[in-house]
Amino acid sequence: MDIVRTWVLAPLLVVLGVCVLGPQSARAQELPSGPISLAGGRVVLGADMSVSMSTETDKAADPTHAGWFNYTDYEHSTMRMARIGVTADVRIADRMSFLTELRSENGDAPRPYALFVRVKPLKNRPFDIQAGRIPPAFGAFSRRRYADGNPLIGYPLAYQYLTSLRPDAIPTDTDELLRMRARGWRPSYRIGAQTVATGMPLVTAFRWDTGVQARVGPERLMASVALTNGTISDPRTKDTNGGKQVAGRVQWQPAIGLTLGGSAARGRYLADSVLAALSLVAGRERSTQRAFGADAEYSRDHWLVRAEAVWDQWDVPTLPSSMRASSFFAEGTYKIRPGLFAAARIDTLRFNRVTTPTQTRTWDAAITRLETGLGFYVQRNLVVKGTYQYNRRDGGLVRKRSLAAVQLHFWL
Amino acid sequence: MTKLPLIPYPLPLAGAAVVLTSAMLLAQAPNQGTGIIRGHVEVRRTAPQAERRPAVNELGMPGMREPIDFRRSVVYLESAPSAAFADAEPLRAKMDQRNETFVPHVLAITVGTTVDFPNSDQTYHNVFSLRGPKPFDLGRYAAGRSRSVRFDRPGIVRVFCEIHSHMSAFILVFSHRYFAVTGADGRYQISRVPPGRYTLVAWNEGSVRESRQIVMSDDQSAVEADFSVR
Repeated sequence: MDIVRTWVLAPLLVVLGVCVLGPQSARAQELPSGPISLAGGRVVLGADMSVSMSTETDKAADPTHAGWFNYTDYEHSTMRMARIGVTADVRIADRMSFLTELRSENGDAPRPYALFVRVKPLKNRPFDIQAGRIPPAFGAFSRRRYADGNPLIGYPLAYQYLTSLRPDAIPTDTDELLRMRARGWRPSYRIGAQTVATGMPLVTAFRWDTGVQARVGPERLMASVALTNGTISDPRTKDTNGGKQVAGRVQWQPAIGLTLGGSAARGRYLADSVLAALSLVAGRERSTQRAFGADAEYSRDHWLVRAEAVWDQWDVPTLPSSMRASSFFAEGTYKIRPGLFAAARIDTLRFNRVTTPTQTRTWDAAITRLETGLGFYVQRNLVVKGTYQYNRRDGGLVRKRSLAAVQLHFWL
Repeated sequence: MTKLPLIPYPLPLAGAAVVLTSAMLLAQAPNQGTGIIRGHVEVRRTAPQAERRPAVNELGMPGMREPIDFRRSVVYLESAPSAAFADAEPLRAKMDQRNETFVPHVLAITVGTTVDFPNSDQTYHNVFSLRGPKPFDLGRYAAGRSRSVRFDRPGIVRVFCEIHSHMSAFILVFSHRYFAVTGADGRYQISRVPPGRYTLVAWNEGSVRESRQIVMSDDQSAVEADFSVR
């Protein structure tokens, strides 16, 4: 970590120190097991720290870098990551709160993962409005509570794996797109930005979008709709194309323990700079991302089972047909005995076929992932996880990769 | 808000203290007594309510919860007459889950008692305890249902809900019957205490706070003992 990062990270660590030691130090020798309450309960601070290590090799030492199977749009591996997050809930008034989460990964400068105001305009009605950098309306996984909502260490492919499409650059033709198959960690195209950047996942779990969101309905039948600057693949604080994304979700609990959800999103994902380079401002309708999602969760006794499917479609102005991708994962968790649990997830990501004069193949490499693991609660808010992950991909320099990982995770 | 001491395995240690001290029998003590120990426990510290973790991920605002009464303390004899260990009979007790709160927050029982954990909320709960004399995990069960745990060893049991991290409670399991949970006004009464010399302890929220020596003489019907817990 360089000195600049150290200085930037320092405030986050100070806040964390206040969380862990501040109000408790007088009574000494105690670690908080829950969030810190200040100002008579009007300010509540929480924290979340995790360290993950894996057998994945370091990118500097290995150009193939384990195939980049677990990299995020912040160019960090989910299997080799140190994360610190501090959350705050500031109650401005009875029905108005300010919420934020500052997060630092691998010593990077803290980023505001969440930063929004939540208003409940009607006292006795289940209706909320949130504005700012808000939680996603689309899908289920990205809104799971903290890292303890993930029974494994890796993320589902739909929410993490980088496709070869970029929001700021596009290929001139299908051949150029196919040359970037399985290179989502660093795709480059002739039209648009020439800077080094990663591709987009189907839905990102590592950034939240900026906009306004409304939710209505009790927990048993809830609907939410959001209007945001970016898209589910590329959330943005600043709008780059003058187009907004509309995303919505309906969630139904037909019985306690069973939750069914459906999501949809539509918005322009390509930056104006790309369209300007093409002189295709009139063709903005060909720069849309559409997505649908379906999810289910069932839990009972010591079991928790979840499944989620995502369908994505991107229009690329230079290509004759839309690029489509679909993903499905199912995961299960079983508590073997108090404090000890086992978990597994099977995960696939598929792409549609495109045709050039010389070949017909999927526009990105299909991938299948299996991850299994065990977790042990050292105490209620301190868990150790160990997982084994197997990846198989239909393209790229690395076609198969197995790796083992461990994670220590503490929260309050 | 509940706190965990930094020392390793604080609850097993505290539990062991209860076990060991309960086993320190007073030899030749009479089988039954008529004495009463009573008094008042003043809780002078202010324990903040356990807050929910800031819910940046969630849509909407959470509902109301029942406030926890942290003034409830448990007063018990650290050493007890031998007869106390013979008259125990299986009992049942209840710790409800209501408005995302364990009710009562502190429960004191004797060894062999079965505690029912009914779910009175319209959502899942998952009661568990990782340490102490009886680690258990009841799994997820819905409103209107109840699951039970029998506590066969003395000690302090820390109870949590896996789904709602702000829910916590204590169960103190004694191998004798000479204990009392204070009322809302802080008053307590331990009945049928035989004559003898005892160590009386007032416990509040997680650790032994204060103890004192008392003597119940043959001609005495009641002993007053007040505590101030900081």
